[in-house]
Amino acid sequence: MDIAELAPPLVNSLMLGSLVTLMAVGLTLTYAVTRVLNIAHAELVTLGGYTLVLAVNQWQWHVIPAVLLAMAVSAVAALVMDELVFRRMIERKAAFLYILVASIGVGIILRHLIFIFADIMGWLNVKARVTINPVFRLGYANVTDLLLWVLPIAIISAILLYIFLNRTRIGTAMRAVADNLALAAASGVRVVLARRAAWLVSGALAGLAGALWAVYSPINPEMGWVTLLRVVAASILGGLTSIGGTIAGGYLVGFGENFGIFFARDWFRVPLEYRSIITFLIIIVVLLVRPQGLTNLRFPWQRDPNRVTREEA
Amino acid sequence: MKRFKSLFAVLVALLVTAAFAQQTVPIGVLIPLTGGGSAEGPYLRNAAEMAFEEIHEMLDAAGQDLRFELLVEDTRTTPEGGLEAIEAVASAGAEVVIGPWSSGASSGARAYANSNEVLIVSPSSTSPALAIPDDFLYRLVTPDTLQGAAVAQLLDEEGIEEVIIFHRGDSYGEGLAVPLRDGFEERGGTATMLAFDPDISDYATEVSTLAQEARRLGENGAIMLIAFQPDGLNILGHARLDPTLGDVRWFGSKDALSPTFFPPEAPEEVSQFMADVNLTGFLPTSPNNPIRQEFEAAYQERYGNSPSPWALYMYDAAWITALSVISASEYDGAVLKEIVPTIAKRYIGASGHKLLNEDGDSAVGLYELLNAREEGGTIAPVPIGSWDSGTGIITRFE
Repeated sequence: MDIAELAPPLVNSLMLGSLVTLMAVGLTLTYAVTRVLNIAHAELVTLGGYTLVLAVNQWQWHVIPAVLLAMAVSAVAALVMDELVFRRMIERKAAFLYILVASIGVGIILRHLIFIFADIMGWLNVKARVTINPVFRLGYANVTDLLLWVLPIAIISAILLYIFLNRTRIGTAMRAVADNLALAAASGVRVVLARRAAWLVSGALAGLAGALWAVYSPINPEMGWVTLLRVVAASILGGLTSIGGTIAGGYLVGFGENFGIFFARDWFRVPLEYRSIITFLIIIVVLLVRPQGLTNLRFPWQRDPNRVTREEA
Repeated sequence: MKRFKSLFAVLVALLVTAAFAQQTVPIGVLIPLTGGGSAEGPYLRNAAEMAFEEIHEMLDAAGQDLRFELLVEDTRTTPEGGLEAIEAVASAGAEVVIGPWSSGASSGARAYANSNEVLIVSPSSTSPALAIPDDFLYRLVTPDTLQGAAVAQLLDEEGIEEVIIFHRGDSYGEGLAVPLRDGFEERGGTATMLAFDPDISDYATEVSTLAQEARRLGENGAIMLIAFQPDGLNILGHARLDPTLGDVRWFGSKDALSPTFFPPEAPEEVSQFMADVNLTGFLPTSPNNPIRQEFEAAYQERYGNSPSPWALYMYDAAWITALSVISASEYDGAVLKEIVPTIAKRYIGASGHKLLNEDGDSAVGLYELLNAREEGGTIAPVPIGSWDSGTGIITRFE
């Protein structure tokens, strides 16, 4: 095989992996802190995409303030969702499954509102008017200026999220709430503030992902919904609670989507139409080998902190 | 006795009201508002609404109280969506539907239509697989067997020896790709079929695979893109950034040459790429008759933009359906099935003459040969020729 043929799937994997990661870490964060598996997260992504399109295509904004606006709008929408629906249900001791169904309902409502807006604006399929350009050639692929933005943004967002959760008071509060709500409340942790912060950060990340997607590719009102399965898969690969595992899951989805079909076609002549099936086959195999997902992954020379050696025993 | 008198008065009043009440007939309008055909949905809805407003004006002038109620349903451009849409309008009393737009949605709705005797008058679904005699599906456009033959002839005339047919993996994509492959191979060419999943959100991987295949093409190789607008623009957007695909000659299916692939609906850089790769293809067209001109002017005035080519067919589907309902002895799908071919035979509308063949599809096929190129400071599909199904000859304007 010509080694240059590996460049296009590599470039596509990094782009898709970064976008899925940005979408999935927000989903993981809200689940970890509030125990809500928010299916309406998909619509927060779409909302971010359409906000960017509105700012860039209609108001002629520069792309950077437009991205910030998209993050703000999705963050506020996420907070409103929680305040109006999820927090009230949790206070009334609703079961996890009921809250999950409610999040599907919230998602449908938001999707239809976005649909009405897109129909009025004539944007049922629209791309932000931001031109992507090739920067340099890598094998048979062109590396674009967008990838050179998206990849660092995804990595920096993940690092900032890590610092936020581990080095700030509000982040520590969020982790305390995630570990044990009752104990956190008894210890004086401001539980409501912590969960509000989780929803705001989660929404902002979804908005960021949607905005970048609208620059990358045309969007439609179902964009988030269609991508949701991959996002949930990435989050599940992260054990639904681990940010690091979710990042690994996001890139596994990205690489699985691209290299999976690349080798399946090359080795077994699998038709291109089966791309999605191959991706999910890879995910199933990973979960069969590691049912806990990609949480607590270590290099072989690293010690498992939970494992007690015979000497220590 | 007094009680009986008042009861009698109420009964008479009810009968009089019923006799003079406006008769409302529900008509299903199945259009794609989501999925691959979403770009077309608003055009089709607007065309149907304009047609029925004109029909109501005609009925008013004739002193008739008949009114049509439009039941608009989204087919999602999928077979499942088509089935759900026809079930929804049929349960609301519709005996006839105009639409669906796509072959996928029509194939989903067709079985229900046959078993429940609900008539479908589709303006546009073109898959040859739906060319079936004596079913409850009429189509006001010619099947893609004709377009496949026309494109095969075009490729041959342009000196193409190898072609990759990059197509939607659905009934529309297969329906055009297969006759094209067969026609091209009969002419001595080599065709490679490469189907893609039409229901995904991004096509970067598919475009990379296409580029991989394109690197194996010889000097006289080409790509034939069979796509709808959302998937097509996504594909062309990624192809623009690929270092291989800009060096290959491209051809496109009818939708790739429709206005929805060009500014202002499409990004300018994508249209520029279409011009750079000399993208050429056929689009079913209609003679430039006064009805078409009147409809296009009215549409432009009302909505501020030109109608899509398929809006013309939808406008005619609405008129043929309404005229059939007005002529029928009762509002019944089976009765309408008998009337529509007669009305269509004597009907010349915005999209031309609508004579139907034995399969219930348009018997007259006229295609415009279009090429993406700069005209008036913007990239647009420019007519460079035509193809007539009767003669099988490509006539070049240049």
